[in-house]
Amino acid sequence: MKTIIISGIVLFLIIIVFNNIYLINPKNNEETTETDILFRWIGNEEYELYLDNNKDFTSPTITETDNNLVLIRNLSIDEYYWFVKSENKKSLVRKFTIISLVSINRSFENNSLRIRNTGNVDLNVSSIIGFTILPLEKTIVLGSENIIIRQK
Amino acid sequence: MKNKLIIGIVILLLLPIVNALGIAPGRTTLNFESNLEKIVTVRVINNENKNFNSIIYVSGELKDYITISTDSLSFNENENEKTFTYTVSLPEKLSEPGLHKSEVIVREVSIDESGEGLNIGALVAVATQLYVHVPFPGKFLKIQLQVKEAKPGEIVKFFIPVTSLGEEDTTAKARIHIYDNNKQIVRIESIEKIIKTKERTEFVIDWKADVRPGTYRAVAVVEYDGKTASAESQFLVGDFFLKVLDISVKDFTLGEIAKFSILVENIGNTLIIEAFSEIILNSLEGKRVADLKSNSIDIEAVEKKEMEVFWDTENIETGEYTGKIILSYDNKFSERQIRTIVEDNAIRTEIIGITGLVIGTETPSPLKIKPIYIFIAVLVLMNVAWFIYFKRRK
Repeated sequence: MKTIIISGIVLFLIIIVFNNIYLINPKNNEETTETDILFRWIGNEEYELYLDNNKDFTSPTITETDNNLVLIRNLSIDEYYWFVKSENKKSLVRKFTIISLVSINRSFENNSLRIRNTGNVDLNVSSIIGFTILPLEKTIVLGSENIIIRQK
Repeated sequence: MKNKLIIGIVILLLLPIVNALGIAPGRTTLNFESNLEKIVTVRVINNENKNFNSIIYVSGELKDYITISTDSLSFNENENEKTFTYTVSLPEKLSEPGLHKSEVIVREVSIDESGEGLNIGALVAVATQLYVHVPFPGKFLKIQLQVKEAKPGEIVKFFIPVTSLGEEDTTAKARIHIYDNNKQIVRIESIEKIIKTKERTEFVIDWKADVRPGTYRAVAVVEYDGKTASAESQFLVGDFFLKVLDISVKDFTLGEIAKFSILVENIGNTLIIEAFSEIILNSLEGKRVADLKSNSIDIEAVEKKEMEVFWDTENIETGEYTGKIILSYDNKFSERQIRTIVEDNAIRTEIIGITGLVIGTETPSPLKIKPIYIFIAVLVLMNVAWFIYFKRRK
């Protein structure tokens, strides 16, 4: 009887294993500041990767691939849900979050401060004389006043 | 091997290549809950590999509810990143519904301020923001409208993300009104949805764009509990609304200036301004013999109008020339191939159309039984066999 139960469990596990797609990256509930995300899973078939910012997948981006990895670039700051399916299998749904990164590259030239937005969001650069919006990957030149940089 | 190579290239692409001063997250957003306690971990990034001291402080209307784990950080040139935390301890009640903001600021200090000498140049502070949404009494929805455009005859998709900012759950229904020049042409309703407080959901409405190309306006209205929320957006059906109908040259003599009349039609539903055309012609040997630009004209919706292009045919020989006509407006363009025959007293130009379209037929694939299913079937049979064997032995 014990053997039957064990072999039944083994059979059940084998069925589960062979009917699922195991997702590797990004990890479930991962938080990242990267906006280019590499999706990886285990398998060797043709797949569709479903990605959406709502868990009902009402407006998914669907990427077809005959590989087990897909790079999706320039995602915006948000929560995302994703899963992968092939002709006969479907993975579980996973979630990851792209969080904002406020980041600048700066240099001093002729008593002026050059600031380039190297983060993943538009910035609000403020000083005592006012504020400027600094879009992604753009540069501004300021006087030598003290400044605060925050997400727009 | 191929996968490893791809992964390697991707990892190289994803490596940070900039020097920077930064902070992450740039913003943390919370929904208000009575006495909520939340610890937020903040990364301060020093990819400039710079020695600097910083002070950390809190500002904004929620500052009394925020405690920082440290009030200063020092970096040396080998330290790329440090972390600190702040704890948000919200009160039982915040009086005003809506958005409440604060920020934790990491500010470079001059060496003077930290007692270590002189610092030259501007000092930079980076802020990590805290947004707390206090729910509105009762039911309250905030909506947006995003449109996935399409060509005539195809499906336009309207996405209506909805966020519930009220204290209570509600049921809601969305509808889309589509306008052609302020005249409503379509109204489509969605099914009803339950939207829980603080939740984000989305309505999706499809519309087959059986209309002429052009610019349309969509208004999304979400009805809930006797209230409405709305959002609107302009969208395009099709992407280029200028069509060339004919190219002709009248009263021509070789060696003189030829006037090309280009008849175009605005197939859209709105005025096109400053449209123009270019004609490029090459000899059969590939040498460019003409690069001509027309005057700019405005064309009303569904109007047909002529553009004029002038070509000095001195030193041009009779014969066949090939090239293209490019129509442009509003930083958009469309081009068609043309063929021009130059004779002593005439120029004939034809627009080369689409030459063919092959439609494939799908052959049904043979029935496939995957090896895994055979394997599972064998295991099932083995289990049944074991079961029968043990039952008989008893």
